[in-house]
Amino acid sequence: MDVEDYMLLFISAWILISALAVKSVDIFLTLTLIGLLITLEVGSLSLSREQKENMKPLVELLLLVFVLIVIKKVYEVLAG
Amino acid sequence: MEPKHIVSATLGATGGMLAIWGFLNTNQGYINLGLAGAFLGAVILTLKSSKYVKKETAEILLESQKKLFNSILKNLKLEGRTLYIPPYENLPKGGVFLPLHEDFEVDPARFDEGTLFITDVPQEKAMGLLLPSLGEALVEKYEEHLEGPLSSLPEVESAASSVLRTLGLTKRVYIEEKEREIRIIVDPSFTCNPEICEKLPCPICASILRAAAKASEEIIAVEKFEKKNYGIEIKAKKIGRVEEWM
Repeated sequence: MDVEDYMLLFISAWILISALAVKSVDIFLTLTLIGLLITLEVGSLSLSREQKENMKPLVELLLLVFVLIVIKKVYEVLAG
Repeated sequence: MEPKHIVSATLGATGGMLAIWGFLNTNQGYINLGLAGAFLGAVILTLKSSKYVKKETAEILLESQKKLFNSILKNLKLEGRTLYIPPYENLPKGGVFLPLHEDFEVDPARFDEGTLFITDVPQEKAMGLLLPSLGEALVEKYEEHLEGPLSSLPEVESAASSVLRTLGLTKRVYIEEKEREIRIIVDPSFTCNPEICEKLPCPICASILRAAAKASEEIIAVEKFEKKNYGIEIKAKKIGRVEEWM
């Protein structure tokens, strides 16, 4: 197994545990985003530029979802 | 179709169906699991690289290349040790020069990208073989990784280490500079026997030395290639800027 396989194993375990342990979709998606960012940051030295570029749309999608979650929460707080 | 495509398509489809099933039955657990499956499918598709060749393939290719290099060295009777030329006007990407004699002279004004045999020189000492493209593609990869030109030896160490590790070619690259001396340690991921590397190395070591020449802007002369417990140890020396040899 090389570094790439370890990274894949880590992110798979992270996503699965998050999906099973958390009840809310919002928290699950936020945890998935955190997992992806950790994987990209820790493994950046072992990833090629192409792989990093390929991962970007997935991270951007989750960031967009995270922003929507934050907006929703802010609205809920303001609406009382 | 590659296995990663099948796995990610299966995970994506199963995940999607599970998420819809969970949504219709208002089961949060299924929705989360479905989304997890879809994300895992996407992660496998993007993260798993498919452009791999087996390490044995690299060994076989390098072995045949070594035999070819050996016969070139024997036939041309090249006795000098390799010089790594940094980029300059005549060679915009730098090059590798193999002098004919151990006691050599370099005449960079006679070099150009299209000339392989340097014979049109006033002194026999300056004759040799010029290989402008040996290790060039890897140096480009190092700069691509750095997102800029190589300008120092620590940058070469960092870029070479991470690019070569990503490609599965080496476990680590270490570069140490002491005044004019450079010590490089390369720990290859495959069996490597540096018999003729002082005269003509493989593209991996050549790329590191070329990158070092480019970063230091000086011609680098190889002194010794040794196999140690911790990898291949290369001892080289900076012998001055291109202008000084003109």
